[in-house]
This record gives sequence, C-alpha cells and structure tokens, in this order.
Amino acid sequence: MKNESGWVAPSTPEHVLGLVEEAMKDDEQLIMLHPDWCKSCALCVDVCPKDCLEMDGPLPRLTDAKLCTSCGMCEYLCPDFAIHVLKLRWQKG
Amino acid sequence: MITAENTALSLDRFWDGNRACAEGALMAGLRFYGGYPITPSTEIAEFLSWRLPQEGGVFMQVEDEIAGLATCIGASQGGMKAMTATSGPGFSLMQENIGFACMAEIPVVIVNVQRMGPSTGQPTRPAQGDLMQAIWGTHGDHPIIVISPSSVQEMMAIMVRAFNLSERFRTPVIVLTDEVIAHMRERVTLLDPASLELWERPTPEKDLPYLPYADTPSGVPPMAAFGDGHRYHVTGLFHDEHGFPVVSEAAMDAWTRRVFRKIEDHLDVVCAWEVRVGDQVFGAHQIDHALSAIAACEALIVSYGASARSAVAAAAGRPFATLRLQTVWPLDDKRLGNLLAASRQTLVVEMNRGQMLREIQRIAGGRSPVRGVLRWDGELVRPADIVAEARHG
Amino acid sequence: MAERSAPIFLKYLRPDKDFPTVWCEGCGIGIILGAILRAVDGLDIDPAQVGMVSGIGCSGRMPVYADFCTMHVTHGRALSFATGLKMARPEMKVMAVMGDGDAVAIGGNHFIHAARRNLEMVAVVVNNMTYGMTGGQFSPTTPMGDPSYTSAYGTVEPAFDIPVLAVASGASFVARTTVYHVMEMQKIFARALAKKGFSVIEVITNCHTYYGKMTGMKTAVDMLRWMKEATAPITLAEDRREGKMPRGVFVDREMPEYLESYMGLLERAREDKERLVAAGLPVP
Repeated sequence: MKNESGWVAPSTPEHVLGLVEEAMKDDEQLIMLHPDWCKSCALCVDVCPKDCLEMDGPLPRLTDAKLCTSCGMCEYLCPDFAIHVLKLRWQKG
Repeated sequence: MITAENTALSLDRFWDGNRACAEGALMAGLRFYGGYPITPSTEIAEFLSWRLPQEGGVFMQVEDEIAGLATCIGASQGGMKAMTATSGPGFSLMQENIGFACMAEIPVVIVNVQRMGPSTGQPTRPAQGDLMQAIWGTHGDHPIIVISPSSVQEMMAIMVRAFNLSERFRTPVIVLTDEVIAHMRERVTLLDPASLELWERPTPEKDLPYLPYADTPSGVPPMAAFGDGHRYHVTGLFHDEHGFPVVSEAAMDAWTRRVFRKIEDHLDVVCAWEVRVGDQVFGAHQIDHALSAIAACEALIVSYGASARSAVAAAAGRPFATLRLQTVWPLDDKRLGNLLAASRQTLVVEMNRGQMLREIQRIAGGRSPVRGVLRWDGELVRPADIVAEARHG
Repeated sequence: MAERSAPIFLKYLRPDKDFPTVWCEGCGIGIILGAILRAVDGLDIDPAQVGMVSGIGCSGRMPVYADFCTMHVTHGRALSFATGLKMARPEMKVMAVMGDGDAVAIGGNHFIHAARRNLEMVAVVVNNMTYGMTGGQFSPTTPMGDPSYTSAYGTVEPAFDIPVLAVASGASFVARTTVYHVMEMQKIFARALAKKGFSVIEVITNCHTYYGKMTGMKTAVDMLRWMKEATAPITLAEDRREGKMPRGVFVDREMPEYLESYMGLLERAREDKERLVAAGLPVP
C-alpha cells in the first residue's frame, strides 16, 4: 500500500516481502523504500556510484531514474534492509 | 578362577566412585562430555575418554572449565544428553554458564567432586564446602537441583536420576560428591538396562507452531532440539514465550515465577531422602511412619554425601535415627519440618562450617534443638564424635 | 544483463520479530547481517540446518533477527557453545558472531583453541575497535594511543592483528574485510561457509557513536570512507600498500578437520569394543 508520498510503511519482514513482490510488478519502479525501517544514516546516498540518491528530509529519494543502473549498492550497504533495488543488474564473478 | 566366560556373566564390578559415575552416566544416555581435568574428578574424564567413543558418543577435553560446560550446553541444545565433571576451582569457573543453562532452561548435568577449599585448597582431601555455592553460586534468583550420593553404588544410580531430573525439568542438575566417594572402591552391581526408567525432555509437535518458552501445566515448556526442524532463539536475556528479549516487568516476573514453580510444584518428585531407624528404612513418601520412630530415638542425625557414612556408623546399634538427604536442594521445608519437629534433638553432620546446618536450623524453626557435628580439615567426621555430641553435647 | 531479483534474503529475517533493528543508525552490524543472509541464501540450505551463535555486545544482538537456530550466549563463549552444537549436529552449518572484545579479549582463549582444533565452523569477528554496548571503552583492537571512555589519555598498549592471530592459531581460512567492501564481504562469507575447516573472518565495522566520535569520524559515512582509504587489498605487494591495513583472504589451506578426525577415532573405538565383546570380555 502506498501513502501520498509514494512510500509504504510495514513493520515485519513478512509484510515487507509481500510489498516488494507487489512493487516488482510495476516496471517503472526501480527502488522501493520502507520508511519505518530507515534510520536516515545516508549510507545509500554516499555509496551510490551515480549520485542519483539524495536525502529528502529523513528519507532518501531517487533524484533521476535515468541515472540509476540498478547496481544494488544502496541495498547492500543499507544496514536496515530499508531500501531495495527491484531489478538488480548482476555482474557474476 | 576368573575366566572370560564367568567374568562376562557377572554384573558385579569393583569400582571407585569416579568410574561408577562415568558408567552410570552412560547408562543414563550420556552422549557428550566436555571438560577439563581436575583432581579429584579427573578419572571421570579419563574413563569417558575411551568409553564414550565406544558407545558412539563425543568426548572433548577442552581448554578450560568454562568451555567445558559451554560445549555441554551447546550439545544439549543440539539434542544430546551432556555432562561435565570438575572440582572446586573448576566449579567456580562454571558458575556463569550454570546461570545460562538455568535462564535458557537447557538440561545439563554437572558433577562436582568436592575437595577442600577455598582456592587451590587441598586437591586430594574431601570436603563438602561447595553446597551453598552449588545452590547460589550463579548470580540472580534461579532454581536448581543438587543431589548427593553416599556410596559408589549410589554414585552410579544417581547419574540416571540426575539426567532424568535434568531432562524432565529442563534444568541444570548438580551432582555434589566428594573425594571420598570418588576414590574409594566398593563392590557395585551394574544397573539393569531393562529396568531403567529414563526420562527425556518433552518435545513439541514437528509441524505445529512452536513457542519455545510457553507456559504449560507442568511449567516446563517442550524443548525442540536444534536441527530437528524448529527454528527459534535462545538467549541469556530475560525473554518472552518466543525467546525474544523483553524488558517489561510483567514478562520478567512471569518468567521468574514459572521457572521456580516448575520445580517447587514437584517436590514430591525432586526431593529424595532416606530415614533409617534400626533396621527400618523410610523413603520420602513414608514420612508419617517415620515420625513416631524418630520420636522414640535419642537423636536424629541429618547428613548427606560421604558424611552420611559417618552418621550411619554412629547410629549402628544405638537408638539414633538418621536422615540421609539425597536431594540436598531444593529442600522440602514442610515435610522436613515435620520430621525435625518429631525429633528430640537433631545433629547435622557435614564436612564444612555448617552450610546444611543453617538450613536445617531454619526449617526446624526452634521446634527442636539442632546442632552441628562438623569437620573441615580434610577428614571424615568420626562416628565417635557424633555419639559424643549426641550424648554429651 | 538485468535480472529480476526480489530481496529474497528477507525470507531469512524472523517474520514475527519487530523491526527496525536495535542498532544505531548506520551501524555496520546490519550490513554484515545482510551479507551473511545473502551468503546463506547462496548455499541453498534449509534454514533449520543453520546455527548462529553470538556472544555479548552489539553484535550479540544479531542472531535474534535471523530465522535460523539461534543462540545468544555468555560473553566470550560463543565458540564453545557453537562447538558443542556442531558436534551434536554435524550436518548443521554453524556460525559464531562475536565482537572484538567477545572474540579476542574475554574470548581469547576459546578463539585460539577453536582455530587450533579446526572444527568446521565460521567465526565472524565484528571489529569496531570499541566496546560499544557498554558505552565506548577501548578493546584489544583499539589502535594504540586512541582515546576511549577508559583511556582518556589514550591507550598505552598495542592492538591485536586478528588475522595474524588466527593464522598462527591454525585456522584454515582467514580473511579480513570491511563493511564498506560489501561485495568482497559476501564473497568471503560464501567461501567460508563452503570451507571444510575453521574460518575466521574479521569485518572492520563502524561504531561512529563511540569510537568514531572520539576519533573525529562522527557519522557512518565518515567511517566507511575511512575504511575505503585505510585498507588495501592483500594481493598488492606490501611495499605498494602504503602502510594500509591489508584486507582479503590471508590464508586458505587444508588442515586436519576436527570432525573428520573424530569420526576416525569413533571407528577405532568401535572396533576396539567389538574386539572385546568377541573375546567374551565384559564391556564395561
């Protein structure tokens, strides 16, 4: 479920998994954030190789979807499982 | 003449207490030993180092006693019956993990072969100075079961009882013995496997939701072994029914009450003792019959462990009753109180400065005089000293 | 090539546990947890066959979030509890997660003996160079001279080099990485979980709440940037590492593994007993 900002607010992993799988059906959506788990550490913003995340108050925001390469670094560096890359571009090896 | 044939048929052995301990544990289903050598318990480890593998079990000599008990608790969490054996200095090291086993309600047996203390003390001489430590050595309010054998045969049988109580009540059980029982040799008869009653920890249904610390009528939650299918969290923090840490007063109060209740509601199972008057023997369930016999005696001699041998010797041929405690903790205050009230005078015999004495005095509550016949210099209490105290004390 | 990938590692978080986690904002322990879960996911193993044992400290709070068989035991003793569990359940994958104090201060004795014994197990040392849970006292891995809540004038003792300690003690797989280097961390965890022997992985982690604050790195971002600058791959020759802390795989070797050796012992004991029984001798 989405609120007016476009974000969702779950509290257990069970719930989040369902929301992510739901979000994956939308081809336009690249990342998903759940604000209840985000602690505003901004590690995702700092590590993004394309600098396409910025802090918008307490939460990160994707500034330009065209810049995002779905590399997954924001998700891997998030200590709180609060941000997910829905279409991960894997490089094996 | 001893032949292979007639040796194999005989069920009698000439063993010391440490060997009997090891074999009794194996008969009870011991399959994991983790420990560290220390006089006068070392032989338990030595026997198990080759007997446990013969029975398909795991023997580990680890780096210290802390690891010894920790590996046992880990193995028990994995479903194995586990034990360690030690003496004073090692027992002191184990206290923290004993508390962990109490908090997480993990069955484990700890054998403490008492020697003189404190500190290095006298490794090769007996004492009974660790009683209060066995009960209260780990910090915080916690229930625990402590049992004490008085003969080599009983050492073997008591291991079965130790594991049974540990499994049934999901608690550490301390077998409190001493250097006398550990190193003396007596004729023993092997326990008959066919007549052994072995209790196992209650286990949950495999495919149903499982709350590892939920209350039950007995107060003991079923325990799933790791690896059997259920996934859950075990912690030394106060926790709720899921095993998740909690800080609410209500939850912590509920846990404390339940773990004490799980044992205190079952003192009829947990508490074992023996009253002897002349040729008559009264078990814990025959208390009413014992009362009049005790009242007719000059004195009631209370004792446990090796000291009970002194007590029995002192009572032989004299109008003394003996109360030999096999379970030294918890104490059944109500029923023991009745026993003590029936006695004209009570003597408590032990090799320490009066640790059980204080408990017996407390329970007697002034209804009959209670005095100690104590010794703490590394020798058994002399029967003559008990008689003298009874008659002229 | 893009692949659709749900964050399936979410399946490995306890579904009924309340989130967000207990750790400070930006704490690297959460990053380590994610890497562990992804590595376990790569194993394709039943989560009920995975054991995770932790000691006391901030890293000790990790297992409660993971939907495995988890234990949170006494300070410094995780490896011992894990050893007992592994011997009782050899088919389980067993991990021990410890802080720097838990592993090499109070747990030092168990650390060296577990490495020497080489029982198959993965030991993760979450090294944030501080005692975070108790409020920022120094640890055996705090760099000499650094201030802390128990070293107001700076520490006067050198720090351990954990991989060197592990190698000397006999561990068969030893690595160091940092929470900044997540991809390297995931690959190292995957290798360790597949290794038949005792693996030690030190993960340099940020405690910006205490250690970082006292040493001029007040945020998680500051500390992760420091990790990037202060470390260099061990594959680089030492004279090209500019004095930076080496990270990567230090050692990956074949040593006798404890369970395998013990199985051999069991076989010998079984044969010995059979010999006694066949000769008509009593056992016991």
